[in-house]
Amino acid sequence: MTRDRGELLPRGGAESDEQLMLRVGQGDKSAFDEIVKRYTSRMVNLAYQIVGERELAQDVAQETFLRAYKSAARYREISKFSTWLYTIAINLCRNELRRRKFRMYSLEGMAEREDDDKLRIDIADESRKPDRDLEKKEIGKIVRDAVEMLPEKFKTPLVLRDLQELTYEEIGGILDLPEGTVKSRINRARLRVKEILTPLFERTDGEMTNDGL
Amino acid sequence: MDCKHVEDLLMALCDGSLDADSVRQVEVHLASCSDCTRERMRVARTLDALREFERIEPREDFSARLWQKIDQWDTARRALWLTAVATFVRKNRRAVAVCCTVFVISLLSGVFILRDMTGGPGMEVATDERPAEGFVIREIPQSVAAVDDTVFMHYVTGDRPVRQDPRAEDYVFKPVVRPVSDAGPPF
Repeated sequence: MTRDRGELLPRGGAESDEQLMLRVGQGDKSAFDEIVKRYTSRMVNLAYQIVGERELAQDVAQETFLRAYKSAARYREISKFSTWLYTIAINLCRNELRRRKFRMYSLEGMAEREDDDKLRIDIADESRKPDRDLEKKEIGKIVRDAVEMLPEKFKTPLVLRDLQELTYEEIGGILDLPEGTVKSRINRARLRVKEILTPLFERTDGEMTNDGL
Repeated sequence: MDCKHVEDLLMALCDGSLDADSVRQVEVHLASCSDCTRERMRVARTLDALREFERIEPREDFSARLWQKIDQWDTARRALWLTAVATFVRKNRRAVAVCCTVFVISLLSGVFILRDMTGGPGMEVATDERPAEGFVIREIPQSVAAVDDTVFMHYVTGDRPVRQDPRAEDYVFKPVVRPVSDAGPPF
């Protein structure tokens, strides 16, 4: 599925996010409705990519908008609106991850960890030969699990760069980190994902060779 | 460039964030190194796989639910504000009563002062311009009405107040407001 960031950005002649937000601060609800339309998809997917649960992602996105609305009167055009909104969303995602980490210490959490271990074994099991048509789907699932397993400080920059397609500069602004640190964390996260995917790549490479491709 | 160095740059190469000079050097190495070329393919496939990360759609009622929450918050905020005011008044009845009294007295004083300054009743208005010859007036203006920047004066002719005398209609007076005692002699 391809992403088109343009569909979510203001079209020519439309008011900027910052202008809309200043109107929201003056009590204009229709301006906030426009903001919600522009960012709903991005916020829902950002939350999903970080917390990894569909329903929770919807709730986090809703809470993000609600907090933005509550703070609208205090909003000043000191930074890009999107940076501000992403910062709110990421802080909420971090809270959810902390809560989940706490839950992981429960018995239920231990069971989930056992499932994770099984997942790693599944990936490494080269005797499994999935149908080519399923390969993409399988890679998708593995990538999703691999991203979910990353520590938050590596996962968030990776999601912002490779999944949300923001620039390094924007990510640095959102996470309040130097650009060099952002690049380094993204690189480490990618290497981790590559490491997890490598057995699958090697297997498919082998199949391609055997098939004479 | 050795394999280790190239390997470190492959992510940046596939990401498009490598400078042109480094790209050239890496490409030269890749042309003659099958291991690094294979590694490059894996890096590229990893980035492709990340970009293909599953996307979800917002719930159909996402917007409706959000606005419901916003409306609830607005209502709660208004109620909270009113409750805070009521609590404050209840706890500080005496102080609030004194403040209200001072405010009303100040307001009324302000109104009276303003009325005096703008030529209210008890002030006489003298004019710089003489009305048309033969137009007999007693210099007792009854009111002054402002229309745009022009001030029209209303006179009493004889014993009968006339709001707008036909002969005075064209006259535009720019009154100089001063107390009765300072008023000059009639025309």
